[in-house]
Amino acid sequence: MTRRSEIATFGGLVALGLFLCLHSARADTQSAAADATGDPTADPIVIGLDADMSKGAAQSGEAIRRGLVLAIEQINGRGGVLGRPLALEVRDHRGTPARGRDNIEDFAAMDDLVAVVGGIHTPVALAELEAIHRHGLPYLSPWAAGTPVVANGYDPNFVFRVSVRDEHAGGFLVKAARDRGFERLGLLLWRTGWGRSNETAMRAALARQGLQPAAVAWFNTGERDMSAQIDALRTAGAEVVMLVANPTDGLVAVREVAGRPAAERLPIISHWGITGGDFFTQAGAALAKVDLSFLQTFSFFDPPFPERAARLYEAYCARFGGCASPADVFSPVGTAQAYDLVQLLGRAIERAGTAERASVRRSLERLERYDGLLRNYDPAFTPERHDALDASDFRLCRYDAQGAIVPIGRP
Amino acid sequence: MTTEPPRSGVLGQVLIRVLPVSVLVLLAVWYGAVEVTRVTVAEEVRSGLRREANHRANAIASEIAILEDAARVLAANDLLVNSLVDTFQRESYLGTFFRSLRMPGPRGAIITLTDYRGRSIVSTGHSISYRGEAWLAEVMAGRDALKLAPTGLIIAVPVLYEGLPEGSLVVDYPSSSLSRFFAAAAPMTDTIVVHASGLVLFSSRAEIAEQWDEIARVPPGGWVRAEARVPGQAEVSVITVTDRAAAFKTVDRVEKIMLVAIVVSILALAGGILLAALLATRPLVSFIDQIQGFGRAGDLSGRVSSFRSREFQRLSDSFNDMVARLELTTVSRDRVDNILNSMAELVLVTDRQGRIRAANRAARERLGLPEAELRGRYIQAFLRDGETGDEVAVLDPAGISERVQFLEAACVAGPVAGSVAGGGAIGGAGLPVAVSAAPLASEEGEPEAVIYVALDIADLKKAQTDQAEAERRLRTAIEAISEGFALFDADDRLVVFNSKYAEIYSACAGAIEIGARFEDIIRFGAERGQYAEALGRVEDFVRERMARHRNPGSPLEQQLGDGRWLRIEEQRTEDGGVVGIRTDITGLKGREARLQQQARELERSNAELAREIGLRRAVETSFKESETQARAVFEMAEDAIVVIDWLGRIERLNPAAERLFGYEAQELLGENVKVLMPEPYRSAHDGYIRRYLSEGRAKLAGPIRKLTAQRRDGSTLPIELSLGEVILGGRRFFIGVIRDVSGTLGLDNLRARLHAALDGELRPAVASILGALQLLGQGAAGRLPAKAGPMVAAAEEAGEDALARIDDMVAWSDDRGALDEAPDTPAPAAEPRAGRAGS
Repeated sequence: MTRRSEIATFGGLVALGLFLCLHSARADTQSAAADATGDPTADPIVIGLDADMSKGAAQSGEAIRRGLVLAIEQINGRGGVLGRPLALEVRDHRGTPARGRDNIEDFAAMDDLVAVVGGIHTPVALAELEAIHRHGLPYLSPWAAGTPVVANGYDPNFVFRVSVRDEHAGGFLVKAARDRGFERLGLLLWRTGWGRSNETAMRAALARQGLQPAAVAWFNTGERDMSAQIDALRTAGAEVVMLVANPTDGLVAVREVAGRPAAERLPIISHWGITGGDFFTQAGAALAKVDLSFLQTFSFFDPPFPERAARLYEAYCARFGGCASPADVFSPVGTAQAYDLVQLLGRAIERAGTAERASVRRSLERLERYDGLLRNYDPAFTPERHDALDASDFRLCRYDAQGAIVPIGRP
Repeated sequence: MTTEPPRSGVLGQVLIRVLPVSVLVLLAVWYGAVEVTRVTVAEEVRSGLRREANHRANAIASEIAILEDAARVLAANDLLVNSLVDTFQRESYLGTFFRSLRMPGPRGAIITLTDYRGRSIVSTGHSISYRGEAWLAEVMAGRDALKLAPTGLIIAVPVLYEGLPEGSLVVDYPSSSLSRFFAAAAPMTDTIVVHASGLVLFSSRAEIAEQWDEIARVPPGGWVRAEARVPGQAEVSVITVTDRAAAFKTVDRVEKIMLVAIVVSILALAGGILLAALLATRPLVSFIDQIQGFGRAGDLSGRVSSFRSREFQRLSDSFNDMVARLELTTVSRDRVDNILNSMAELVLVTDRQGRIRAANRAARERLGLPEAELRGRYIQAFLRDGETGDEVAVLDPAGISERVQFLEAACVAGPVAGSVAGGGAIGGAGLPVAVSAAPLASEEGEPEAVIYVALDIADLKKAQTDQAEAERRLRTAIEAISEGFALFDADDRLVVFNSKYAEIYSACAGAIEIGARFEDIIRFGAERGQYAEALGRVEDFVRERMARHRNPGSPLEQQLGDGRWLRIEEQRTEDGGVVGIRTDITGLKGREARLQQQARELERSNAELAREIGLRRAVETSFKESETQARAVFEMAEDAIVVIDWLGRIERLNPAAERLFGYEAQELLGENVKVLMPEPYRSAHDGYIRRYLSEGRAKLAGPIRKLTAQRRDGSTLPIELSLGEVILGGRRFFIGVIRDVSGTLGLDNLRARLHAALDGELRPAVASILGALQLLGQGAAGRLPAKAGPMVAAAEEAGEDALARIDDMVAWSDDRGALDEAPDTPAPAAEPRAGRAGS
């Protein structure tokens, strides 16, 4: 391909992308009405979404919203739940705990609201726990992985999760590093509850192998320069950086490593937080210089149940457009996990025979088997276990040259 | 007419009229000067205060800006940002960090980190919350809030988390610390800082603060003040004040001094007027006394004495002059009366209606009435048209020219029967007179009266009557002669002729009258065919005839136009005149003359016919040859040739012209040639021809003109035109030879267009694409996808390559232009020059 035709193709693609974005945005606004078509006379049962919809991790919020929309429309198409349509109410917490807490208060005051689906941010979820339990509001996490989000000490526990649990992720990530022969692991952690949750998990995992981190470095939210942290890890002899960060801060860390001479560039094994935003586009050329792999659960390139994944993919493309390949489905874990969560919630309401929150919470603990996208939940939750996934659902992935998230070893 | 006696003298008048006005003017000057001074000083004081207030307000704003900068730096600290998210562990490090902070500015500042709703996260103070504060919305919109209020100074800046405000950092300076803040660099002028609520935040002197209520009044009593808003603090103003009495002390002093000066001026003015009036009235009184003396004495020979002052001297000179003229006039009138009374002619003066005003002695005697009785009578009663007997119409002086008009008819003087009671000494006999009249104009130039001068012509009348009788007898005798008789005087003017003479020369009837010159009569007759000899040679005949007439000798035989023959016998008279007798001898001469005439005419016409035939043959041969050659050139010529007449109408055109302009010859013949030109030449062309024809002396065939022509389809083409002129059969033609030069110009145009397109359009377009690509590469449109980076770089490289090639081509096309441009002159400039070339 000549340079000129490459540019033309690039321009064309940008224009097409813009068109499709606008098109899908319009389609979304129309969906609000479509959501409520189950039975026009019945009041809808509302599901709240409380996530970052505008900041660095807004892509994760949108991926979750799309999973919710697809599931809600699918259920409404079947006639809704208890004869009532499901509806979605979105609140943007912008990754800020204070806003998240206030959102929970707003949601709790809505009569028809049955449950709240959270976003990527563990710190926000942690800050919301008190309000969630004070109001007895079921809180479903499709992404936030912090162990204490679910292991929160409340009884009854209103938090249910179809996502990674850091306790499991710690072991998975340490194993990934160890499998590549690294012994001296340098932990680079976000100075929040999520960072600490992973410190605990990875320390525990290393301890089981009789090891300790080579060093632990912390960074603050919005820190612009992480050279000191990387220096500290290298000085301590770290062979690999174990990164726990959201997209914006993760970008600073990856650029810091990429900006160093090739010999000084440590490989990075990251938790999945960096995939919550448009990380690939923003990292640009830096990604090519860094050996970056990260944890994922669901991938359209290697789904545990290809037929189920294909149906979702088709529904996704029909509903939102902009699909040339599965690589175009951004932050796929958010969409897939949110989709499964709503399916489980719908069944829990049906089973409870009411949308009353406490009943639904109890019902969630007593679900039948459900064959979901990520696994066959049998059952998803029990009174003792509110995490539906475990390490067997995890995989290590990377970005391919086009920015698609692909499992390692697969195309 | 009665005149009220004047109430006061000159001095009184001057004092009454001048002094009050002068005093008013001086007072107005005083008032104006004081007001201008007062306003100027007030403006000076106010602008000084304004400057000071503005300076102080800006200084406060700068101080606040420094504090704001410090707050902004702190808000950007990532530990603070992190604490917005790290809700569980932040207490462990945030409290220590805050206690370690020291902000610039007054001491005692309370530093607080709040969440997005103003709720305190950590603070150096106790129980702080800014929830619901009006400025919070401003901060959460991403802008700093600076609030200077009686409660203190609050500086709040947003804490940004991933670019969006998620909390605020608030630095709260208590009101107790503000005094020091404002006092820093206190100005010389008294200054107050007030809040919109009316509370005084600061005052440079305690007394000023106490008087604030009075200063704040509008207008402020006893104070001058200026106010400036602190930039960025709409509710806080800096007010500078000064004591009004102190500020205007100088003005009050100036006012008093000027008042004294004005009073002195008024006194001086009154004295001056008094003195001037005294100086003026003294000679005036003396002058009046002298005039009154002359009046009482009735003496025109007296003269006023001289004065020292120039104006009075001129007055006395004028008076003396006037008296001298009066004296002269009196003497003149007596002399005129004497002259009139001594005249033999009758002199009557009437008014415009013809009523007699005056009559001299001769008139009084002839008309037989004393002057007193003549006065008031109409002149018509005494003057009458002598020949017709009609009464003389009222002689309106306006109808009489300025110069003397002579009434030619002798008029009869004397009272008309019945019209004058009592009659005159002359009775009804009448007296023939010649009257001249002239208008008499008033001083303004208007006709006012008429003067009639009548001369007694009774003897003259008698002589005329006798002469007329003698003439009548002579005429009867001449008429009785059977031959034509005519007598011309020494000046060769006709004095007398008989009716036979007039009958013979009937063609000359219009010229034969008494007083006509002989030469005029025969020329008149010759031009009208009176004389056979004069046909076609009037002047020669007249010359010959006049020679014979002046030197009469043997009798002359003359044939008239109608064929009759005369014998003319002329003889000189004693007084140098000529007397001539014409006798008809037609019977003798008629036949012979006719035969000779016919023979001559036949001979002449034969000769003319022969010459004509020869000439025509030669012309025909020559025409045939040149016509063939010219036609071949005209038809075969590659250049278009158009022939037009002097009105611009196309007379001929060749096939090349038909091809060039796209017309058939028939369509163009007779059309104005301007149809082959575009505007503006089309409208101007008739003018070019007119100008050439009216002024034209210079040669038409100048240099070849470069012009633009227009084809039938409206398209234009560049042409070269050479012009020639020819006169054929008395008509003037212009011949234009036209060459199409569009082929040569086309290449130049192409090159120019290429140059313009490359340099003016393509090059900037590529340059702007390159610029956009470079900006894109530098991240102006945000971070590019990894795939796009190499593409943008490649596009940049290709763009620079293209730009270099464009530059090469621009240089090439420009070089070509430099070589080719010089010789051509633009066509529009050529035509007006061509138009002038003809003139």
